[in-house]
Amino acid sequence: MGIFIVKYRIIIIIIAVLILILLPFFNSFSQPPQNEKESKEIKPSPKNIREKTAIFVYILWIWLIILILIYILILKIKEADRVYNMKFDTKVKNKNQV
Amino acid sequence: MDKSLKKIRDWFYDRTGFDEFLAFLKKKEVPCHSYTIWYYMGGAILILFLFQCITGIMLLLYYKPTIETAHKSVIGIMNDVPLGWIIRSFHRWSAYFMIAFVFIHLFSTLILKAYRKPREVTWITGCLLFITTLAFGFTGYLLPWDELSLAATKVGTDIPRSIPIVGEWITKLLRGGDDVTGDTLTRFFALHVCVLPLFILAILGIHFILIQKHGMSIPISIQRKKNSLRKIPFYPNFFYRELIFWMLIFGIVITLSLLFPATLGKEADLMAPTPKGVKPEWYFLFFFQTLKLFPSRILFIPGDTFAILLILIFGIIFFLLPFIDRKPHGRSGKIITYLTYVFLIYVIIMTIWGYLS
Repeated sequence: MGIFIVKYRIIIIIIAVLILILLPFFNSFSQPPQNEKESKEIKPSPKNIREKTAIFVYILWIWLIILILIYILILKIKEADRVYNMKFDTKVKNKNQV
Repeated sequence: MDKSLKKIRDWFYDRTGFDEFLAFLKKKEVPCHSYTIWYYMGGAILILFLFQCITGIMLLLYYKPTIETAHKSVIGIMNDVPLGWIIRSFHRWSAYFMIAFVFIHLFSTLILKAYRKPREVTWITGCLLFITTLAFGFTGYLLPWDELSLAATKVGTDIPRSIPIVGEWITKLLRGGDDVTGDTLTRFFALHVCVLPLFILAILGIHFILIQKHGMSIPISIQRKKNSLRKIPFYPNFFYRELIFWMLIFGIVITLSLLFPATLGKEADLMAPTPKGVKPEWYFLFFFQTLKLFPSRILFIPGDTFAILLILIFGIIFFLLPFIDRKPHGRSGKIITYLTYVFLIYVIIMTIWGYLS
């Protein structure tokens, strides 16, 4: 039961933080018309379709690298935990023998 | 390992003592329980601070802090400097995430009562880091010198004026005069790139030393359980887990920076009237909305003075919480936890209200 309460708390806090961070996008619904906005703001978005495509390719490439690195790290964590537990077990066994 | 590489490594360890540092990290243990996720927040703030430093230095190479050149130099960064707009966007998004994680870290510390004895000073340094982070946000907001940032700074620097006796002086000190001018921009720039970084590094150092001294705090509910607590070494077991979290943060920040780049408003004009609907950044909205709730006069005191005094008292209580919550296990401790939840909900509601109003 306690674990469920903890998970609910975590979920509520994560949602709250996401709402706070993503508020600028929610607000876009109540923004003035696009033409009016464009005249006020300088937007540094990519200039042509080539640059736009390059950005999406770059994002995909970044996430691919991140996922590969995460996979390698998960393997490393499993190994590190296994080695640590082995040491721990040996210590317990030695204590019992004494 | 290759012999020559081993020689270089041994030389490096011998001269720097880095092997002793690694041995220390391997010896350092992190408790493993259902609340362990909250231990990652401090590391997340640290990596985001590092992102801030790197992108901040890059922006510093092209930014010119005078009222004639500030806005133009930011346009130059966005349009002429190769990848400049990405660096600026990354700086802004990582700042948003850093502040969000500081809030999470603060509230998780509050709810888990990690401030209890013997970590009172750690809590105080954490509060100082929280204020410094907000100060970073406030001073950085003016630097692009667009009309919204000027108006928000005018409103923001006007708030301390309501404090009795010292209020007027604080406002003048912040602005470098009676009004927001080029002097304010110079002051904010100096604060943002020199004073605040030095201050945050000093406090961060003390915060780390204290964490090393006292170790990670274990929540009361876990401490009460009689069965022995599982612990894992900081290096490599916990550090690898943190690396995964850091990479995810990097991925999210860079994606948002590319898809939703930071924009820039019209150049600030000191003579122009304040535009309608000026709002501060999202992390100040709850504070801004709270001030708006107060009537113009309460008893014999002006409403804004009353609000500022109330917020100051609340801030002092918050700062000294470990000394007030002397029995975190008892009934008073539980009441403080419930009040924390109420405060958290209040902050969220006020922020949303402030944004939509």
